[in-house]
Amino acid sequence: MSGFDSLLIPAVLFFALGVFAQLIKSDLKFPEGMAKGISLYLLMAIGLKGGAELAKADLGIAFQAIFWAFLMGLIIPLIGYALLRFRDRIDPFNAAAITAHYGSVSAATFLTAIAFLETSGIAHESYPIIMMVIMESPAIIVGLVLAMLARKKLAESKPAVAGQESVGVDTGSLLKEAFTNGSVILLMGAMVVGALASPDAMAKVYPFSNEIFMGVLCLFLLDMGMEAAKRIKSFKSAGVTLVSFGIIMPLIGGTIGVFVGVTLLDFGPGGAMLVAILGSSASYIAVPPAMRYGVPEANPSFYLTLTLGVTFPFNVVIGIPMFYQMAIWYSGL
Amino acid sequence: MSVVTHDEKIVQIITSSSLEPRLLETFEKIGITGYTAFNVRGNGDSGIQDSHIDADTNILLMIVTNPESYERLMEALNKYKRRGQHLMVFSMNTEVLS
Repeated sequence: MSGFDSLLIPAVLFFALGVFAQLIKSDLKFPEGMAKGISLYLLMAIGLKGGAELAKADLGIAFQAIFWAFLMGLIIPLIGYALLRFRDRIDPFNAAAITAHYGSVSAATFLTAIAFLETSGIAHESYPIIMMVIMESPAIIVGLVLAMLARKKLAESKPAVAGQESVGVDTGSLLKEAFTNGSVILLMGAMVVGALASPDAMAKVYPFSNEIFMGVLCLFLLDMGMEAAKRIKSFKSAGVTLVSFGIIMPLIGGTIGVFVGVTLLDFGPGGAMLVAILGSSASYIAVPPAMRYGVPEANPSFYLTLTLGVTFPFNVVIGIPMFYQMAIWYSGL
Repeated sequence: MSVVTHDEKIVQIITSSSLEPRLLETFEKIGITGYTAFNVRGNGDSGIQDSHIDADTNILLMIVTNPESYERLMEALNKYKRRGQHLMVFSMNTEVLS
């Protein structure tokens, strides 16, 4: 499957329908809390599936995958920060908060990538699922440290402004929240359940975790399409530099992911494309709340516009098929 | 039938739901044990807040308090604001049915 065909999978088409519905100002709307409920289901289902497959996996490769995932989570935000700070284009606090999102991952993009592979009958390794769990949190640490350094530098260069207080962030509690974030716990917990449960018992759960999965994903992407289109209005306030970053950064992260997947982990094109999606996608679940509290100087509308309005649609429509083709090409070298 | 009321203060705080656990800890330290929380939607400096995902969910916390606790609460909330946290805080005099 390549080119235009890759867009003709139900999940992507429903995403397009969501964008269309929002653009024509349709009154299509999900009941309150439904999107949050669906995302819990999706995380649980993918965790169960991944856990069952990882039970049969090679521990050595799993540890290597964890190691590289952790490293990607640390390095990608540093690259992003350097790009945003180039010629002082973006202030250090917004740069730190934005780049933390890019080191973390978007589960919805990852699930769409799995839908792309499964609909096309392309085999893929299951290790990227555990990599997704690992990559949720390290970037938060990078973002907080970068903001802390920026604060220190600012305090040295400027005397304190009357009425303002330095941001004393409780880093310990923030890190605890990052590692015990609901999505991390659910995904990790479902993986453990999937790995420990007997195959016979798991077979009884398949109607829930496998058979309805694609349909629920379509519903979720319909909603995400509406959400992405809503953010288009904020492009003007975000500015050309940030919107461009929302496209350039996934290209860099995805290329790193293809390299890690193919060269360092020896995955096939399917698995390497999933690693690329981990590198290219930007979090909108675990990171934003941490940045809202940890880097209050940054504008939340910037990072939510970028992750939901620019990078998510870019990856769903262009990134997934492009990184798959890149992985095939690179594997063949 | 005579109605007896006493004077109190209502403090309302609109902020991101991610600040809720910390604000509740602050209330507890001050000795405020009662509050009411609502999920709210809107738009402002932080962009659209439509309760779609955790990151764009705002809450409104409402506290009815006596004048002594009120002073301590406002000082604590001011500290959040001075640190750059995004909170909209407003207060009103109120009469509470005894």
